[in-house]
Amino acid sequence: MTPFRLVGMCLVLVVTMTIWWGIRQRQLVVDAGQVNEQIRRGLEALEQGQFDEASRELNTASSALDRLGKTDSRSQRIKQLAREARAADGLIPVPLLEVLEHVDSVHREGGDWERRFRDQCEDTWIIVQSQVELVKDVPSSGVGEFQVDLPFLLGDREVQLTGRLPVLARLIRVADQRPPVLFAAQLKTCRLVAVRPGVTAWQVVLQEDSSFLWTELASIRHLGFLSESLQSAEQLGELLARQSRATGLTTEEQDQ
Amino acid sequence: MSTWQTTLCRLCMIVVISGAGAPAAPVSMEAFLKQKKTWSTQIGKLQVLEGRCGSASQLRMTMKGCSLEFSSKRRLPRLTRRGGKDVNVLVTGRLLKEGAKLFFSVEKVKVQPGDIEMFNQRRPRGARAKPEEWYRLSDWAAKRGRFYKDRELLEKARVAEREGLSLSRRTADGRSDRLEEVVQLAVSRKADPRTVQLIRHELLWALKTDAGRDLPKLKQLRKRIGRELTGSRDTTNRLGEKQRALYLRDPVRVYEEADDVEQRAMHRFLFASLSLEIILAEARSDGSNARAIASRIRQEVPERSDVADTWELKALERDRRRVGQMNQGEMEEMVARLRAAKQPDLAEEAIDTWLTVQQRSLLELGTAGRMQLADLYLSLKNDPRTAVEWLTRADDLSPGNAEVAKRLKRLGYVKRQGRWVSEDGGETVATRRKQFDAGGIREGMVGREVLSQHGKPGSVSRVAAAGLVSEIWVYERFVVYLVRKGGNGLATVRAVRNLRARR
Repeated sequence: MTPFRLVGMCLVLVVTMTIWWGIRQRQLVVDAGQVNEQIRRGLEALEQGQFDEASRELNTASSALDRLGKTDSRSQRIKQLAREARAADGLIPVPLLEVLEHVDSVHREGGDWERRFRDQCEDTWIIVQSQVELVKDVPSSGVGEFQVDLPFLLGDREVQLTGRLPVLARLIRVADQRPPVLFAAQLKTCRLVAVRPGVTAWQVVLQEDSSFLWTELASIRHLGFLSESLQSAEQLGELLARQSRATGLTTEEQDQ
Repeated sequence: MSTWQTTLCRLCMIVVISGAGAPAAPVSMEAFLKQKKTWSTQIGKLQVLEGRCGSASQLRMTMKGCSLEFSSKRRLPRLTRRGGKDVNVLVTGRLLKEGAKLFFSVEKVKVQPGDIEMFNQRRPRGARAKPEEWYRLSDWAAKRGRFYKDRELLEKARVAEREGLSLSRRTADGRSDRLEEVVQLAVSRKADPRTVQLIRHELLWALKTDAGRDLPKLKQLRKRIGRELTGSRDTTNRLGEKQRALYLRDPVRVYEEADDVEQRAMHRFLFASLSLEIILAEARSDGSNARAIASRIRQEVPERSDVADTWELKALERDRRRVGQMNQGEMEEMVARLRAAKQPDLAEEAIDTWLTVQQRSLLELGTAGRMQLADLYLSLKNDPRTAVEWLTRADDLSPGNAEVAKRLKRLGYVKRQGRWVSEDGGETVATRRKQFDAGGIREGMVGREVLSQHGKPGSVSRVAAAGLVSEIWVYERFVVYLVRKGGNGLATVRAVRNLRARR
C-alpha cells in the first residue's frame, strides 16, 4: 500500500469516527434530557401499582442510562426497578399450581400437555418467595443453580422449580443453610422427572439468566406479599434489604 | 492618413456597399405573416422567405398558410412532388404594390429539403447527445407541425420529446431530486400523459427508497401517491402473485411494459405496500396495539387480510394471557374473535382459564358463588355435568337451599337418600369434598380461620401471578393451598393436601 493511500484511508477513518461520535453525542444529549422525566413517571406509576406504565418508562430510562454509561448506585437502582416492573407487568395470568394441575390432568388423559403449558406460561413471569436449595455453585461466575420444592402434591406428583440465580451462592453463604429468597424469573418449560425411586415431579424450568433477586419494597407492596399475621412490611423489608446487600445495590451503612 | 488606414477604410466601404444590396436572413412564413402590419413599410426591400409551396404554375405560385400572391417574371422551377408532398422553398424577392394590391415579386426560388428530411438530419446522435437538443428539435417540429397542420411532423415532435425525456430520465440515474425536475419539465412541456406517468412512477419509487424507515416521509409519500397515481386508492385493483414478484424485482421496467389496467393495479400495490409499512411501523414491539394494527390493516389495506390475521392472532395471544383479568363481556368478545380466527381450541382454553380465575373469587361468595359458577358452565361451556357438580357443592354448603334444589331439578336431578342422582339413570354426582377434610380445613375458609385453628405454619412459600399470590402453608402433617388477591386481600383456602414424607 502506498503512503498516499494509507493517509487517505486514515482520513476516511477519522471522518467516519467523527460522524459516529457526533451522532452518539447527540443521542446522549437527548437521553440526558429525557431520562429524569421518564424515571419520575416510572416511579409514580410503580407507587400506584401501574406496572405496565412503570415497566415502559423505567425500561426506557434504563436503556438510556446504559447508553450514558451510568453505573452509580442510583442508576443501578433504577435498572433494578425496571427489571422488577417488567416482571410484575408480565406475570403469569393463572396461578402456577393451577396451570400445573391442568397440565397434570392433560398428561394423565394422554393429551398435549406441553402445548398446554406453553400456551399459558411460556415467557410469562413468576415471583417466588420460598426456601431455595443451592444445587450447584459456580464460583467463577457467581451464579448458583438452584431448586425450589413447592410442598404441594398434584395427585402423587411433586412440584419443583429449577433455575440459575446470580449471587445466590453468596447469599446462602452469608445466611442460613436454606434462607427464604424472593426472586423473579421467566418461565421456560416444564417436564416430568423422576426425583426418587417411584416418585415423579413436575419440574418447572426457568429461563436461563432471567432470574434476579427482588430488592425493592416499593414494587412488591402492590403484589400481595404482605400479610399482617404472617409477613409484615418490616419482615419483608428486612429480607429485601439482605438481598439488596448481596447484589451490591446497597451496603450496611446505606441501610442504616 | 497612413497607407494602412486608407486600405482599412476602403475595405469597410466595400463591405457596407455590398451588404446594402444583400438579402436579409431567411424568414419563416409564420414569422413573415406575424409581421403583416408592417408589410407596408417593407415594400421594395429584398427579402428571403422560407416555407412550403402551396401550388405553382410557370409564373405564379402560392405559399402554404399565406394568402399573398407570389409572381415571377421568370419561369419558376418545378415545385410539386409525386404523392402530393409539400415542397419546401427559399423564395427571394420583394413586396410590391400594384394599385391597392400587395404581392410578392419573386426573383429567385430555391428548393429546400423537406421538414421530415430536416428532422432526420437534425436528430441528435451519439453518446454525447443532450436532452436539450431533443427538446429543441421537438419544439421546432411542433411549431412547424402546428402551423402547417402536419400530423406527421407533430408526431415526430412527440417522438423527439419522448426521446429527450427518456434521456433526461437516464441521466437522472434514479436520483429523486433530478427525477423531480424531469417530471416538472414533462408537465410544463405538456408531454403525453403516459410518459409523464412513467417518470412520475419512477420518481415515487426513488422517493420510497430515499424515505427508508422515516415515518413522516413515508406518510407524506403515501399522500402523494394517492394524489398522483390513478387508481391507487381503489382496493379493487389487484396485482396477481406472479406479476407482483416481477414488479418487485424491477418496478420501473415492468411498469413501462404494462398496459393501463396493470399499471393501475401497480399503483394500488405501491400505495398498499406503503400503507402497510406505515401501519406496521407504528406497531409496538410488545404487541400491546396488535388489535388496532389488525383493524387498521383491514380498513386501509383490505387486500392484505393475511397480514391482518397474523396481527389479530398476536393480539389474541396477548389477550389470552390476561384473560384472568377480563370481565365476562371482554372474555366473550375475545372468545368470539378466537372462533372467528378459526381457533376453537384456544377459545375453549380461554374459557377454561377465565372460569378457573372466576372460580377463585366466586368460591368466596359461598352458595351464591357456586350457583353462579354452575350458570357460567352452562352458558359458556354448555356443560351440565360440571354445573350439577357445582350446584351439589352449593347444596352441601347450604343444605335444603330452595333455589339450588330448583336448579338441580331443572337439570333433571332428584335427591334420593341424601344424594343427588339423575332422574333417568340414577347417576350419582361425585363431589371433591373428600379432598378438603384434612385438619378440619375446608375449601373457602379464610386464612385467619386456619391460623386460629392450627397456629402459624412451619413455613410459607409464595408464588405471584397476575393480580394474586398463591400461598402454600406447610404444617406438620398437611399442606394448605391458599390464594390471596393482590393489594393484600384475604387469603382463601383452595385446597388441602397431606404432606408426603420426603427422603
